[in-house]
Amino acid sequence: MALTVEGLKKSYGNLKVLDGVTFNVEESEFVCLIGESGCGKTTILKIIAGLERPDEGRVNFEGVSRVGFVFQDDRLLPWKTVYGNIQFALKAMGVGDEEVVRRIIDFVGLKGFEDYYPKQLSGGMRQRVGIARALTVDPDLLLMDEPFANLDARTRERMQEELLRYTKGKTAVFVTHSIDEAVYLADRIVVLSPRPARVVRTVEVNLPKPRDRASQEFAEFRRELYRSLDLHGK
Amino acid sequence: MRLRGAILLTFLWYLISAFTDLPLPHEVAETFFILLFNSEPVLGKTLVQHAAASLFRVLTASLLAFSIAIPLGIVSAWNRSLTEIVMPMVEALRPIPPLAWIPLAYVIFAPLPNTVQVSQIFIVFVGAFFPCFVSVFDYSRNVPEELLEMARVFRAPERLILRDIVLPHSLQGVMSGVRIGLGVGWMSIIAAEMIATSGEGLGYFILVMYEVGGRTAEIVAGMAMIGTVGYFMNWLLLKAERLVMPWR
Repeated sequence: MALTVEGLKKSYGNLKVLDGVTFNVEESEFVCLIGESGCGKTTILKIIAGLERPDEGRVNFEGVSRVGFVFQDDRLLPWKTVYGNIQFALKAMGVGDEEVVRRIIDFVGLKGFEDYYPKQLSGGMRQRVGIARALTVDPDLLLMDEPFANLDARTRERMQEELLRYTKGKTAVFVTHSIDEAVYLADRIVVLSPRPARVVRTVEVNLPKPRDRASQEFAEFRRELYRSLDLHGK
Repeated sequence: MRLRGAILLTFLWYLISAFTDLPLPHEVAETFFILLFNSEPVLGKTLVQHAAASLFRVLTASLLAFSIAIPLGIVSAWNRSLTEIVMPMVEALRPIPPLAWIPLAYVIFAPLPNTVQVSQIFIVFVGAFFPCFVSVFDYSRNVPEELLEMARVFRAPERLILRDIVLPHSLQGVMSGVRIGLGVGWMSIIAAEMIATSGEGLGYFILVMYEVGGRTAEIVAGMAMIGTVGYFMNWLLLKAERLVMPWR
C-alpha cells in the first residue's frame, strides 16, 4: 500500500468539509477522487501533500519520499521560462540536473518551447509544463487537482491521453468532478459525497488501457456509473 | 487619432492665444529650437544645459532615495515588527507634498555652504522616496499565496523561495517604484529651483524669464523642455522594464 488515508475530518469554522474520509492507494495505482465541486476534494489533496492538517485522522505513506503536485491553475512562475519552471522543482530538491530537465521537456513534447514564458503559452501548454514540473522530481506519488478543468474539451481529451503515457507505472491520485475523465483515467474511482465529504463507494474500472471512449464497453461502464451515482442529467 | 488630437490642441492653443497673453505656438516653437542649443542672454545658458543641471540633481537625489527605499521596502514587508515601526512614520510623512518641505529645507540647511544644492536634493529625495517605498513594499508584501503554496508542495527551501519567487515579484514593484519616483522627483526639482537662486536649471530659467518681464515665449519653451525630458525619462524606464522583465 503506497498511501492510506484514514478518517480525515476537517472543518473551517462552522463549515464541515471532510467527515471521515478513508481510502487507500496501492503502488502503481491510478486513483480518481470524484465528487461535486466544493465537496472538499482539494482539501483532501492538500492534507496528503502536507499543506494542511486534518482535525482528525491520518495519512500514512509507504515508500513515498517524493511527491509531485499538479495544480488546477498552472501555478507557473511568470518570470521563469518553461525550462526554469520545470527546473524549479529540481532546485527545490537541491539538485539542478540539466539533463533531467531536458529529458522531461522532450518527454512531454515541449521541445522548442524551453525559452517561452508562461504568458506566451496556451492553457494546454501551460498545464503540460505543470505536469512536467511534477514529473521531474521522479515522484513516488503524483497528486493532481483537476488539472484539466480549465481546458477546452478537445485539448482536455488529448491531455488525458498524454497523461496516461506520462504516468505509466506511477502511483497517482487525481481529483476531478468529471465522471468521464475518471472512467478514462482511473484504475479505481473513489466516489465522494457532497460536502461534508465521505467516501460513498469505490469502483474498480476493469477496462484495459488505453481506453477507447467511443467503445461499447466504455459507454456501458460510464452509464452504469452514472446510474448508480444518480448523477444523470447533472 | 493621435494626429487629430495634436491638431485640435494646436488649434485650441491658437484660439486661446488670440484672446490672452499666451504666446502663439509657432513663436514658442521658434524660441524653443533656438534656445535648445543657443544660450539665452540673461542667464547665458542653453535649454539643454538647464535641463542637464536639473536632471543631474534629480538623478543624484533619486538614486539616494531609491538606495534606501528599495531595501527598506523589501525588508519592512517581510518583517512584521519592522512594518509596525516603519509604516506609521511613512503614513504620517507621505501625505505631505515634497513642495511643502521647500521653505523648511532652505532654513534647516542654511548653515551649510551649499544650502541651495543640499535643499534641492533633499526635496527631490522626499519626492522620490515615498512612491518608490510604497510600490516596493506593496509588491513585496503581496507575493501571490498560490506560488508560495506551490513552492511548499515541492519542499523548496526558504532561500530558493526568496530568490526565485519573492525577489522577482518584488522586482516589479522596484521598477514601477523607480519610474514613479523619478517622475515625482522631476516635478519636485522644478518647484525647488523656483524658490532660490540656483544659477541654472529649468525651474530657475522659467522663474527668471518671468522676473525679467514676462517673456512668455521663453517661459513656455522652458515648460516644453520640462515636458520633453519628463516624457523621455518615462519612456526610457518603460523600455528598461521590458528589458529587465521580459516575462511581462
